Amino acid sequence: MTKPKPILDIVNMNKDFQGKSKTKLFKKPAPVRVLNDISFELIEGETLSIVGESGCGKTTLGRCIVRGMSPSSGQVLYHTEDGQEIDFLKLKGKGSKTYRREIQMIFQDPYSSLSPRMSVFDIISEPLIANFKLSKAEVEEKVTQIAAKTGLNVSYLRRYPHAFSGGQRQRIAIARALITQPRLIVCDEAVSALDVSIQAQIINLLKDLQEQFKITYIFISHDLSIVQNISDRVAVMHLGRIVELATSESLFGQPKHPYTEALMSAVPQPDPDYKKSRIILEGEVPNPANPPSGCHFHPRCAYRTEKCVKEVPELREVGYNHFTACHYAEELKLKGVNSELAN
Amino acid sequence: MRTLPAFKRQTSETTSPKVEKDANYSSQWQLMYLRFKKHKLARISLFILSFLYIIALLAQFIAPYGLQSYDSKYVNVPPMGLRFVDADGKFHIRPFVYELKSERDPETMRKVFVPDTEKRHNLKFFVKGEEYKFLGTFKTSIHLIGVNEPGRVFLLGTDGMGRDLFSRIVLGSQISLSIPLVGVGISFVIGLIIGGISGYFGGWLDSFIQRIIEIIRSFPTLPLWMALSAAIPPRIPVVTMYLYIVIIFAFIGWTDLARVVRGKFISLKNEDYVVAAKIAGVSDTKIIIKHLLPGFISYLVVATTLAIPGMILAETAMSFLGLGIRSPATSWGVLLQEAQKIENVALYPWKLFPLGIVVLTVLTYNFLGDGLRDAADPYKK
Amino acid sequence: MTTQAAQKEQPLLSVQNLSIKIKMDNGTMNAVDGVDFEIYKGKTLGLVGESGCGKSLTSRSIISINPKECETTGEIVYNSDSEAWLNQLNLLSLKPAGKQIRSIRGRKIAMIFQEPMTAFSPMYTIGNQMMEAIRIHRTRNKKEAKKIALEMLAKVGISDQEKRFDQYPHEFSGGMRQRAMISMALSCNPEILIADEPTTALDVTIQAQVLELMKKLQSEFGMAILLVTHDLGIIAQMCDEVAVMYLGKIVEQAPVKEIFANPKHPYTKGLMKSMPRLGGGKTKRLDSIEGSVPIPIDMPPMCGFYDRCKDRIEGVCNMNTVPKTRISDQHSVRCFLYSDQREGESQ
Repeated sequence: MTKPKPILDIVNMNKDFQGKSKTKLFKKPAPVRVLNDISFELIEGETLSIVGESGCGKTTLGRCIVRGMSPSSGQVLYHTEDGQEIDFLKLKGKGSKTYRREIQMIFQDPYSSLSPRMSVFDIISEPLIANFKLSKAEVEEKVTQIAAKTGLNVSYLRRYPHAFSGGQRQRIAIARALITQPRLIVCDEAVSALDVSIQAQIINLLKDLQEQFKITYIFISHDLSIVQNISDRVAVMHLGRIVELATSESLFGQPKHPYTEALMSAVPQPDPDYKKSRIILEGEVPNPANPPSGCHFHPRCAYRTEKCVKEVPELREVGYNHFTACHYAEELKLKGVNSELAN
Repeated sequence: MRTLPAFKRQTSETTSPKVEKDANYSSQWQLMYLRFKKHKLARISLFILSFLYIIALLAQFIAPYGLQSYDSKYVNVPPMGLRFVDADGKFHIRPFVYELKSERDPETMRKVFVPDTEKRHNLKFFVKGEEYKFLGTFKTSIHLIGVNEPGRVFLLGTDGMGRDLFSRIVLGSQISLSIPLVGVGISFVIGLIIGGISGYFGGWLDSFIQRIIEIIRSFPTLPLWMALSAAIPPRIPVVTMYLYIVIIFAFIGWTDLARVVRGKFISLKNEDYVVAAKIAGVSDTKIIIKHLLPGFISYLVVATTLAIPGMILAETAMSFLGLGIRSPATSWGVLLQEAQKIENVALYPWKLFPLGIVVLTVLTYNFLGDGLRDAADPYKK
Repeated sequence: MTTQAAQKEQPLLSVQNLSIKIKMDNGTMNAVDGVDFEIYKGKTLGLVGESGCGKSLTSRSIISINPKECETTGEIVYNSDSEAWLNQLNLLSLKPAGKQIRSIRGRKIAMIFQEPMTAFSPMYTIGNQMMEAIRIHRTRNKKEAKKIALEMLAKVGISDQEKRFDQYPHEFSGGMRQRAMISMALSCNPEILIADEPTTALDVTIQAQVLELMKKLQSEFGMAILLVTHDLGIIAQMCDEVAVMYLGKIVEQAPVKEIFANPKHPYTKGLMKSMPRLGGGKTKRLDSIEGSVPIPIDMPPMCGFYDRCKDRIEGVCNMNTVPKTRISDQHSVRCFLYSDQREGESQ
């Protein structure tokens, strides 16, 4: 491996949603900011996980990257294989076709993400037909190939999705995402809807495929155990902002943001002897329509000071490749999970 | 995905092993058909409706008498029963009717009809009668049933002008059953286009179209009909009048369908699998044709089916009020005009027969719509 | 088995040979098949399994709220010393909509669900709905009932109770609604709390709050909890005893420490291995269980896990019904790998 090559640059991405008005009849409701100045760089071949609680904007971020939604402002710079840098969101016409197929997505719910009205073969071949001019035999060959790679029984391809279980449906969805030979796949809670034993199968499949095709993943999830198992780097989101971004090892070992620490501490460990002082966050996840002042996390933070209420912390580098948005990142001694296991 | 050796039902979510194999490979329409088959009432209704439409198609052939024919000798004749046993108690295989003698009731001085047991007319198939064009192609005078001249058969009695009610119901069904179909068909197209535009483009266009729909829907229907039918010039050919009426119905009916289309369009547009197709680079036209249309066409069929009974009732009501179809054409609503007077209903209750047919048709359409609705989403458990 | 149980404390609820059959278009589904377990006072039993294993149906059959299509057989013996008629009462013998089961439901055995929105009517305030239950089961007095309700809301950590009392369910957030449901369920001092995936719909931080709350309230009120979940992590934190269900059967049952330290059934082992652990770092591959869960329609007498099992014995596992085998006093397993070790004790 040479120097890490970036594949995607997210630059200052913002996304506003139209708010819901409650009382005023004619006044336009204020927009709700779901993504707030998101910037990060994605390295080719890595798995970057985005974690956070529901409503933190992680799904919106994923959709904005694949152009399933358009952000209110900001750029997605895509580094093509031959070294060009293009603005992915502004692609139009022919260029759009060539490069859009290189970024694909896998959805959370394998039931709603497959059209019930198309046979599995048609579902998998659809992106292929839309992007390439291929003969029937070639399409057939490619689909069969991908189906075999994703562990689908090739003789079932003429069936309809309703004949498959959740895990198998997710394999179909993966096959569909894979068929255009993408370089980047955004997995939006791709295993959360599945049973534990099936989850492991799909995670293994994703890992195998990454190894084989050198795919980069953006893995959006709320499950920290899975995130740690799969990712190279992790971004923690809270209320539309990235509050911490670091390598998986560094983040789980020495978290620098109290929110990350609390998230990790809240995960129930499958070990009855595992005694730890859990950090129980008080209160609720704040409403994004009416975010708290200063650091959005301060109402629930055990370490808050006056400064946190007033000043918005910047995302800054506090260690090698470790970014966090906390005023006291250096002073706080926060507990990770790796360190505890070592004890 | 390893095939399991012992019992391979891990993929089955619906049916037994034998059917299951089919179900796994069946498309939306096949699944809908399977679902629909399970709905007994809807199947019976479909059967009855097809029967009614066949009658309407062959109306001139089935009706013993034509639209214009009347016989002033037989005014307000009650339904004639078909008889098998004659006055002497002899059984005849071929059903027959007695000729009617008109007498005066000595008390009320009203004209009453009594069967003349001397004169028997056998009911026959393929009798010669009035000339008509069979299915509009060739001229013939053969009717399915009837009696030889000078006999008369009035299965459901006659009206105040001596016209056979049975024939008129059968002939009227041509208009009463086809107006809703054509009307709904037109509103289907309008609704699909306008609703589709509204749902697909959204924004101010959507709001604008929705406001228009709301305005149209907030008109009180009766005055609207009156106004619109007042715009129909009098003394125009039957075909033109028919067209006008259909347009009036379509004008009112499309709003509902447009709303269904718009709603489905919007909900389907945000389905994950549509977003997935978009991300995969599938073109907008293709998404509409391959994902959106098949997604809601089944709901549209249901909405359309359920809109038909409303149109039948509307046509009946309009014609009943004299705002719709007018003589010489006839429809069930026109026939019911005779039942407007209470004494008519009291003295000649058979004049309510058209009402029964209307009720039957509306009911069967509703049952059919029910069955289709159950079948429309075969993926829901 | 009965002799050993008798030496111990009397179970508060004992489920014996519970089976639930559902008639489908294409045969009968044995959704729950011969399930036995006991619930003790102040203890938590965890029922763990994947979707479709019958854990929810099992828990719901205790208070007879399963849909009509379910044909339930077996015995659910409730053994409360609080009232005479509740002693050794078979709950399944009661009419599902009858007066007796209704007086037990909510007052003696309460239940909380995954989606708290379904437990509340959107038309009434939270307070209104809590009062209703309290006034039916505890006190007729309106003032007293309100006092109890406010106390309960405070206990589950809802601040500003007076204001919250008059709010509608939609004004509560997910976690708060869940807590309100718990407070409603506990407002009548039930002896048993059935919690069906109580935190699955919640975020981790809120989940931690709710679990902590349940533990705290259990130690305070001494109720028994039947916790239904798919999450081994929650099981490890909350339970005293664990029953692992697969395809309608309890395949393994043991105290929580025993089952995590010494899992016997290949399915339990597989589950534990396939679950990524926080702190485990990035690993190459997980040990997954291959295949997927079959649907138990007209199943022949065989081990339901046979197709996915790594240690299956052909000709044995797919030919016979698997008997329950005792590994130790409290540890039992349904697997042929262990059945010949202790002959004669299997049922």
